Amino acid sequence: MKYTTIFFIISTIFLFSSCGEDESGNLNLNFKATYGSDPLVMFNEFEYNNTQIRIAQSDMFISDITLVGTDGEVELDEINFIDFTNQNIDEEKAINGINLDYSDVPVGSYSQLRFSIGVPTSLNSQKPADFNSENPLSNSGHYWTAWNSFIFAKLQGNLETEADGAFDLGWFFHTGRNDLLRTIILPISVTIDKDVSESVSISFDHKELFSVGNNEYFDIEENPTNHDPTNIGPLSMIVDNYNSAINVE
Amino acid sequence: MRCIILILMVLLLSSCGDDEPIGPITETGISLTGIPYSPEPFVLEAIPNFPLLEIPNDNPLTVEGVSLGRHLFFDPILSIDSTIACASCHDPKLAFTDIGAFSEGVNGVIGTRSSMSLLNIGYVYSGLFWDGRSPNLEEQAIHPVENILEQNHNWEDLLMELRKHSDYPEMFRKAFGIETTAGITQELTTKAIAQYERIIQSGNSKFDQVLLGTNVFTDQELDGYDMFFDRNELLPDAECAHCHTAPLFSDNTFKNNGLDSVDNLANFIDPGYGEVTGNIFDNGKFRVPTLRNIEITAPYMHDGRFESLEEVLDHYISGGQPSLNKDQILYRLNINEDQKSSLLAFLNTLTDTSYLENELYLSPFD
Repeated sequence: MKYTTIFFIISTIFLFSSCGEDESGNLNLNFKATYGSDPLVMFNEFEYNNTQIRIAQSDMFISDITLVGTDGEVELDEINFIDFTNQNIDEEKAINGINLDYSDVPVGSYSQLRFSIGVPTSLNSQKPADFNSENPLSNSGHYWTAWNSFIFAKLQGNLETEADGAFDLGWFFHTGRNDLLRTIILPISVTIDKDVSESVSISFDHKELFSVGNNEYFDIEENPTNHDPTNIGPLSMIVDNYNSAINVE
Repeated sequence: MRCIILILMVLLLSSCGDDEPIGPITETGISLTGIPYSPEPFVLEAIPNFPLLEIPNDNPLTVEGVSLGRHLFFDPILSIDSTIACASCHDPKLAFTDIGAFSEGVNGVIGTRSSMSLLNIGYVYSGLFWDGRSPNLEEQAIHPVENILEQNHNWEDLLMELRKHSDYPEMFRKAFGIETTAGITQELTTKAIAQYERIIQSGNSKFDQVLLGTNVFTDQELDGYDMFFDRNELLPDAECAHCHTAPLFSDNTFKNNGLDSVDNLANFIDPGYGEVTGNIFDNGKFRVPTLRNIEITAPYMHDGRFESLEEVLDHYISGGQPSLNKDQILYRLNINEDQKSSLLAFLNTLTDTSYLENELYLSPFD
């Protein structure tokens, strides 16, 4: 009788302890910046509209990162910040890309990865001073007072305008405002098993951001900067091109 | 008889403790346990529209800690010949900067960079100094003491001086509860200085008052404000607010703002941030400084090359000197003299000397 009681107690402890553990695994999202099919290395020269271009800065807020599966949706992250500028300083680092790692992802099969480039409306009504320094939204350099909006993404570089190697035209496009938030849905086939790590690699083609269709690209020389709220054409082009520029590898 | 002698000795020692807080010399220094240790939290008033000031858990602000830090900040004891205090290069009356292009250290040695304003420095949580080499205020405070171009002291000797000092042992005891003078360490010294630096705040300029609705801009200041923040389509964008973001008027980044032209990024005389990161694309970049109190912090730039704000504006209007990593935000601006005056008028609204009414911001030795 005594041994039966001990066995019962131990069994009960095991039963409850296993009930308390959610079955989960890990997911790595790897973001790689490219220029066409080449790794995007900051300040490297790339062909652009029969001239040469350099990209010097590319960063963005990424928000509402969500897995969509057969059993529903799992939000991985409300807000994060991807900074290719400081990552892509040489080819090796550009190829390695930027990793966002998530643990405690519920086991299951997932068929879509969904996220937005920019800051969700609910957060965009706030200001950097509203966030603690650990939060990427505390970055006042990514807030544009005139728009009452976070800067969703910064893209900057130089263009060689006269085939003389001078790269004398600086250009910059900073997106922002609620109407320029774009949501990306990528098809994936990922099964998360208990205590197993999976990875999804996502490429971000920066040349494609300037595509105006038919293998033609935006005339940066004609319009090298933009944050005029009454003329957001170039910015709309960039954010609308996210869908074709961002893909699962 | 032995008992009587023992009791007398105990009474003698205990009475000594009551009258003289500095106790007997022990192997670990002079005992300070006779001095009460009951630190009082230092309450720092929040500034409207500013972010919440974050205080490290291992160095909370206390009245006693701030007081100790204030004394250390203004005391030239931190330099090898007791001539240069922190305040020598960070004068409260000059928004905690100095008047020279380069700061002067002991024996008149001239440094290589201009003194940065310490106003609101507590809101900077990484990358202190012009080149960003220091991760926080506590670590930052180590370096000027031992820099041969600044205080040129060494910590070992400085700590000995502090331990033998007539006042500091008691102040360290009250601030940090050390039990003996040997407890005066580099860590506690820099913690105290950091506590003091965190209370150096300025948020009562005309600009702040306008935001709070207690003051109004003149027409000229308003034009400058609109150009600074690109708020008026009828006025040119001066592109200032990309880097000098409100409310601190710095985005805490490092930029190449086109001061020098180089063919090769390795050729910057002062590589600045690049020397710290090891990334050649960061060469020639320096911390974006705050513009608060910019009117009284001349000369300007990391090397103090511009003596007036007019020169600074002329530089930015010109678009700066070309180099591979010059920030693309800098390009030739179409801003006329009247508009330049408006920008200057707005910049002058960032002046706030009301903090000088707080005696904590002044030397305790005057």
